[in-house]
Amino acid sequence: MRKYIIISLFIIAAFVTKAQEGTSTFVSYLPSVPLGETADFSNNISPRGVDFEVQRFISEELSLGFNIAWNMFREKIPEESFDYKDLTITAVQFRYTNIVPVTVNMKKYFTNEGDYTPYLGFGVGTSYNEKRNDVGVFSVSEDKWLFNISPEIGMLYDLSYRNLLLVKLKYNYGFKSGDFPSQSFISLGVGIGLK
Amino acid sequence: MLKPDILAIHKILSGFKQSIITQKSLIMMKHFTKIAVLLFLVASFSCHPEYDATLEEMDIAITQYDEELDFSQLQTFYLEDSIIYIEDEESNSFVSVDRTHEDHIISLVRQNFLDKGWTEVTGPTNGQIDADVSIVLSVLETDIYFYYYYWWDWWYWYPWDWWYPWYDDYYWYPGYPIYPGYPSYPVEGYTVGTLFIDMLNMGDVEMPDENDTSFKVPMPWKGAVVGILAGSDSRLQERLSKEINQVFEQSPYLQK
Repeated sequence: MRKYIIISLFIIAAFVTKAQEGTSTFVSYLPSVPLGETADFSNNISPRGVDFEVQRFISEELSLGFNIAWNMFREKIPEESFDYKDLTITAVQFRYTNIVPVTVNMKKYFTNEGDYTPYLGFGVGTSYNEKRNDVGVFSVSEDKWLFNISPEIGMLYDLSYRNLLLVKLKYNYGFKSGDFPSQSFISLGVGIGLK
Repeated sequence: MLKPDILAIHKILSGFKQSIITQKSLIMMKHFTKIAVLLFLVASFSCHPEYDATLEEMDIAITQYDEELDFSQLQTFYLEDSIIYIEDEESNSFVSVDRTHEDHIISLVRQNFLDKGWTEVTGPTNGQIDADVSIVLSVLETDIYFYYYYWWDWWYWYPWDWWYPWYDDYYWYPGYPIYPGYPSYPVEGYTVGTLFIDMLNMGDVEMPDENDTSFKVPMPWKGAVVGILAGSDSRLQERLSKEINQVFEQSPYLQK
């Protein structure tokens, strides 16, 4: 199932990028704040995040796009005792959470005569999630693909005829699957785009 | 009355705005590539994920115990005055560890048991030891992935005839391997320099019968300090004390 989702996403991405006309490409820096279970495991504001996005206008105020992102959270837990299976372990823990959402998204633009174009967006797709806990020479990790949604609100600013500045607030939520907990975070993105 | 010419004002403002946009465009076109590269570099460098752990931050104290055993029934311990070094000179990971801390380790383990109210039994009496448990210390001089395989190599070293002298007549000694009584440390991959502190429950040893080829030794408690003796460190003695004490501190059920 996951395979088909990813293939579908790439087909849509190919469709989106096929025509240059009406197509915009963005790269954004995406510092993020972990929430919920993500914060429970690795609770630090993360400067580690980036995403790549392609949008194709399907009407004057609507675009369909493809977004792939990478966010990484980490936290160093000072020495403490914790249980793992039937062991008691005392050590410093280095925890890492990697989340790679791959989504198809749609955006609604509120065009006006100014240089600023606010928009609302909503993405749906999947995300690869990996939680890793490095304890001394040991490493305990688990990973899972989760169903993922990512609503966002943002603003485009025309820097020039072809160049855009992008500022966005994006929420990402990967739904719980099996024993793997839900993953969520909110990002403040700053990016540039070409149209 | 003079009315403002809306169209004129709009035209002026549009021109002004266009002028700003044109200047802005020129500036941006000039710097766009630099900004793009800068953004990419910031994103790339910020994604360097790994913490740089210090040697001390790599230290781990691990314990495991039999939750069904009533430890209050065990009161006396025997501690061998030596450490077993598990080596495999043919292994790529073989490293001869610093053995100068042996006395410190043994005395620290002894002191921790005494502090928890245990009574030490020293040496065999009438050729026999009757302590409730035997404490075995071992240090890895090679990386291992399955903790107890080395038992096959050193089991004959142990003074089993002190504990079970009547078994001298049986052909199993020293002809059989031994196994721990139940699965051990589920974490795989112990590294050079790891110190194991194993408690053998000598009252519940399962002797082999005629159809068996091994005997089982229950290990109700195990402690490990992972990799502590690897390499050299001026603060090794301090780290050793801290981690060995931690192994006992996180085992409150051993308290008498």
